[in-house]
Amino acid sequence: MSDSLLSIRDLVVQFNTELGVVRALNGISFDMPRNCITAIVGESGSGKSVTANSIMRLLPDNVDMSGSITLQLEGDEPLEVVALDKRDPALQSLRGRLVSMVFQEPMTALSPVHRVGDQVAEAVLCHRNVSRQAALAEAADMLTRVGIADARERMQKYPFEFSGGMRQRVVIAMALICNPQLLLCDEPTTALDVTTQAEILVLIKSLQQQLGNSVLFITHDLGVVAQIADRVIVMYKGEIVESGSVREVLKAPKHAYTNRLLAAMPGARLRKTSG
Amino acid sequence: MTQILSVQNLCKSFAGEPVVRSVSFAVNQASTLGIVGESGSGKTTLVRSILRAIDPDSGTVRYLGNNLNHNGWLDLHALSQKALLPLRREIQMIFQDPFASLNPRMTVQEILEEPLIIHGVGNKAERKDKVRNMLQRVHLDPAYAARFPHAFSGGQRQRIGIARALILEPRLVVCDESVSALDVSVQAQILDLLKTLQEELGLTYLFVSHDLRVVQEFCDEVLVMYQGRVVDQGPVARVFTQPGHDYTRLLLSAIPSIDPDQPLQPLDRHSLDLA
Repeated sequence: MSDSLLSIRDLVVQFNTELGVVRALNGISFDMPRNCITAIVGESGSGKSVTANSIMRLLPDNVDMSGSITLQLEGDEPLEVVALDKRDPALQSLRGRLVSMVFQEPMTALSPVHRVGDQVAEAVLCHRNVSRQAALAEAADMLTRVGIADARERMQKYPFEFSGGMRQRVVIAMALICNPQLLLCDEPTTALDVTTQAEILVLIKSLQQQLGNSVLFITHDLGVVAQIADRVIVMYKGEIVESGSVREVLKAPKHAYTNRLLAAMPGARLRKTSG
Repeated sequence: MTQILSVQNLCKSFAGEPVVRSVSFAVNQASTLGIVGESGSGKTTLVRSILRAIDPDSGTVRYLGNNLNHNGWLDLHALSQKALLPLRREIQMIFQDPFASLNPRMTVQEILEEPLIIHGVGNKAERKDKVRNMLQRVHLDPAYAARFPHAFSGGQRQRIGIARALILEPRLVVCDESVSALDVSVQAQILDLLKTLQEELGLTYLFVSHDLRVVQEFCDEVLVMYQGRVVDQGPVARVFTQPGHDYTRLLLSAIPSIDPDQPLQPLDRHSLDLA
């Protein structure tokens, strides 16, 4: 267990709403090894995003959490995320520096009124004591790294001047610029075209291999899971129904729900009728 | 097979920028034509021109009428709005976003009744009956008619959108990314529903999608659009196995396979002849 980057034990998350208590996570436990990509797959409402948001403590105030989320970052004491106070400075350094997130919709994740370069550099300025000039130079390097040509020039532009795929590259640059050990990706390609999705998947995978960090990748598409992840966790109604290596789970699913997800894939249904 | 729709040399520009460039195709009755391509390829502008939500710059859209007033091939863009009204009953649309396409302040009864009122169908009691029947057809409890859209999930809302499109008993239904916002399990249910309704009612679908896996499963013929042009077209079985254009090859190479042993290797668009 000590070689796990992330250990979640008996995590329960419930929302206290006007209409009563809604339990989003029903005591889930899993470990995430270092230096690999783990996918969480499941339908809407299965608890995928709540899991990712719990790790960064991004859930609203009407939420009760119990159980534990332990981050064992390299060269650091284990960090117990659930126990942290909302105002604990450790939470500020966790968000963006140790753990960061790529969201689904790149247009809403970026500020429409700030230049792209400033938005990427902001993460550096928040977490490290460097000059604005140095932060902008780092931003240019990171933007080049995520495949934005002429980064120095295009940093001056605003998000609306970028295509959807290019915006998502900017969001990925923002997330990676402080070299986090854990990157959370919440459906980062769902809003993109199939061609752009393929480019972003290849990018995330190759960056993970270069940087040696870990990625938790949320999706509802098993094709995306097969292509990007090493390990997969299948969630249904706030519980983990199956987990294991991608090959094991996709080629020999044990749980009926995993089978149902596989059967719902468009290509799978075609094969079933023709063969 | 009889054709129901024939489009010849359709062109549309916005602010001097050509968006649809001389597109021609025909659709057979009771079949499904898929229109694929990435964002900005002109798919939506093309179908909106067919519905006369947009006036094209040139070209013709002909529709085979089969009622007393409109019999034989009709040029949709030559008709006056008044003459077009009865035909609007026969050509309906199902939208992409089930959250944006239903008026939040109308009950399901009002939403489904509105097209009947506009076209002067039945009296109040008959309309109520029609709404009940239609809800059953799309597998929703008729008792839900008194509820507002917010009470429904994404998949249920899309069923309401389908019910609204079908309540006038159309012959041609345009589905513009109608399952793109849904997760795979709900998507599979909606596709099954659309297929069943097509068989029962003899519907013809124009099915716009950027997801080739869905098109491969759901459509009979496919039109591949790139930068406003049709670059490939034919039966799905032919286009997917023997693509006639490099752009089709690019799209096919970007599909994430569900088999982890078939790694994603999207073609590089700069190395292809896409002109």
